[in-house]
Amino acid sequence: MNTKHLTDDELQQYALNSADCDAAIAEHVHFCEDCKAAVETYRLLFTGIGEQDVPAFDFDLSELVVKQLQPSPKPKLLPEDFFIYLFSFVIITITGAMLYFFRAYLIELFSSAGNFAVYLTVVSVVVLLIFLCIDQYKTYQQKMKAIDFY
Amino acid sequence: MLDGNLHAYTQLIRHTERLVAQIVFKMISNSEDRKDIAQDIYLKVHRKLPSFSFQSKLSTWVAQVSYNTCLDYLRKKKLLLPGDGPEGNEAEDDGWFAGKFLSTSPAIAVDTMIHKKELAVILKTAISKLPPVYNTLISLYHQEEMSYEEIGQITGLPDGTVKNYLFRARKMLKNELLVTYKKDDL
Repeated sequence: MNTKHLTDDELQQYALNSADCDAAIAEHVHFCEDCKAAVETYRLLFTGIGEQDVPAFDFDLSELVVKQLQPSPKPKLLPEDFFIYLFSFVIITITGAMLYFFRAYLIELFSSAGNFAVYLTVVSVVVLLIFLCIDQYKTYQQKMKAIDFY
Repeated sequence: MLDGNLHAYTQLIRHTERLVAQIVFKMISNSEDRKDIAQDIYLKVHRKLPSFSFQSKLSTWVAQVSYNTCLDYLRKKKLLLPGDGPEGNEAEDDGWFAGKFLSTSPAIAVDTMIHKKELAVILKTAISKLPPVYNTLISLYHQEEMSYEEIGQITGLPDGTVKNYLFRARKMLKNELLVTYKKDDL
């Protein structure tokens, strides 16, 4: 057995979670009355702190705060939002126009391509969409977890 | 909430009020200032809500705003923070709070000597003597049962520093408990 008394750090660790401590520490506490008493003092301290009254405000905080808040006006369109909308519109217009003007070539392309190529394309798109959905779902779950108070 | 729903914001206040109160009560001693600071915290939270990035729990983020607001107040008032107080020397910790004469290994456990009610009173006094940041860390860890990581997120302190501060605070409380016990025993 280690005959040197435990340090305060070791005593606290043991008092907090004896299962996670070294076997040597546990053995010392088992045989040393002084350290056992010090551990008990710490445990008593931790229980005492846990049982202290939880402070609470003696006024209605939400009422006081909400009184000072104005219902926020509809958010204005920021310049960066405007560019995102404009860019999306341009992309959709160009894609739509290409599909419309080159529809004959596209139909010919897909009908001349083998079934394998068509299936491969469809499967790739579906797999990609599944991954995107999983990613979106994970983000949603993370956000919900963040705002969960219970 | 982001759309200005005040009912939703009221719910947020009600759900996080306990944690905010823990921090404000432990860091601010003046009750009038507490009232102003508590309101200031939630006004700041409302203003900064669009910047919440979901990297931590919303309650942790609100607690972080609370802690920083209280810290700003203490700095403004030039009140003692752990960084300004005696640090780094274990022996100094004992001397600063409880006197250097104490044995760290009492032969008799204190619990056999003091009643639960007495203990609560002694501890309340001892906790109130701790520096504000130590006091807050003790409450968050032992009363709110938060992890070192969560406390680190709230205070912006590295995990190692949180552990170190908690260690010192517990040691101070233990020494104060022993001093009180010895004083009563005389």
